[in-house]
Amino acid sequence: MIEVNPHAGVKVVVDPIEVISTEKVLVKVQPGCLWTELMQDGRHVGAVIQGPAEYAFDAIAETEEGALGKSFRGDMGGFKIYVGGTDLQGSSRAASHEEFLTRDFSSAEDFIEGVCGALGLHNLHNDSNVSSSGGLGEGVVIWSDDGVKKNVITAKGGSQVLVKDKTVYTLSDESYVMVDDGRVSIRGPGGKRLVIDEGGIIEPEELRNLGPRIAKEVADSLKDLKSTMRRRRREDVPR
Amino acid sequence: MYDEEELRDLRKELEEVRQLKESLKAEISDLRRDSPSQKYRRKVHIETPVVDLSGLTESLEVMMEDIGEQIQDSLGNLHDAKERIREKRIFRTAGRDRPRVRDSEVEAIPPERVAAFIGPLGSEERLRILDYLKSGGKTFNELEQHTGRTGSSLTHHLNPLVNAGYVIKGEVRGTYYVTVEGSLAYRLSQWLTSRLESEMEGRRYRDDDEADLEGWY
Repeated sequence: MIEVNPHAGVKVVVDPIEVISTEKVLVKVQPGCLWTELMQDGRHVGAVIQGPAEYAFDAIAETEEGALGKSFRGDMGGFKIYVGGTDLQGSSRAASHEEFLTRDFSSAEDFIEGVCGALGLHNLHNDSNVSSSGGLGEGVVIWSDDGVKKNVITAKGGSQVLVKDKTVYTLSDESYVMVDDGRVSIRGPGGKRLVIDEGGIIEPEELRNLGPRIAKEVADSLKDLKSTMRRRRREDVPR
Repeated sequence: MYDEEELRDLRKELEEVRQLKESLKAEISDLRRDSPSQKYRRKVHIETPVVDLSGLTESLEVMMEDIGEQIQDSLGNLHDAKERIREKRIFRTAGRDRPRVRDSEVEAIPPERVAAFIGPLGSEERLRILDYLKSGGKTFNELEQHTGRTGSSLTHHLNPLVNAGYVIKGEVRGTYYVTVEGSLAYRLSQWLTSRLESEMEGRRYRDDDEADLEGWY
């Protein structure tokens, strides 16, 4: 169970720090952010951060034919729940009353109340599966810009995931799944690619228009059948 | 996805087959009932039909069974259709399912459209960048070292490639990648070069031969 460490207090970030930093994912927390420590089974597992933060995500898959995908960059609003190994302590100090007020909190208790609300929003109080055993610079960040939709970034062991609005990007070294613009693209380790949109299969090309092609096969078979029946009728029925 | 219209056509075809079967049955009944020879015979030998239709009906029964089997086979073949389609597709060239572009349509492409695609490729530095990126994503520094161009001088060549969609820039580390379109554009440029070189070389040989021949006469 993930919970706030009641003894850790609330800190403020004084130097910019990259809580996730891999080749294709970057989550950077800016000075002025308030944060408190998260515990799971008595261990430090991350932090809940509130304040200016930004992300960059290269949803770019390199294939033999060339690169595919997009690169994203944006701000992260609301509370950010970070689970990972990066230590924020070295770039932070205890938050002052003025710093709470700057971030629209009346006190440390008010901030902690907001943190508990964010954990509840993302249903993390009872979810013991959210953990990160990745290396330094790897981890998971969950946040919501509007207090309703959940956004997720993960980076761990060469795999990256971005879930934001209606887009989902999952990339690893050899494969990816992308859901974007009403289109689903899947690429397997062998380089095989499947792309489906509202109109049906787009790739592989041999499966394109499969429905109409099967319908044509059936129609052709029925035509043959009809001509056979007509021929037999002419041959077998005496006049 | 199945097209509603095509499904309707299929249902129509099946209905026609069914109607044909019904009409065959009706014809057999008519033959039994209305055959003039049968009527005539009936008058003379009421209890013994002269025209024995049992053979015909048997053959029609067999035929109907055949038809039933054929229908089942035809529908059963649906399972094989995908395989057949796939087998055929193996021997096709890439992009053959795309709408074919007629030569006249290609010739009608105006210069400005050609320039939009060819223009960004129009310098040795840009082609060199595309060629270098084929081996994988590269940082700005690596591109600087490779091309010998620095700062804005390199940006001047990179930006047209990015704007054309031939190169994509990763926001995380500022890594540049050649896209599928960029790879294709570069490959087609190489193909064009090869064709033109070979054409021009052939012409030079022909001109030389003609000059030699003129020397003879």
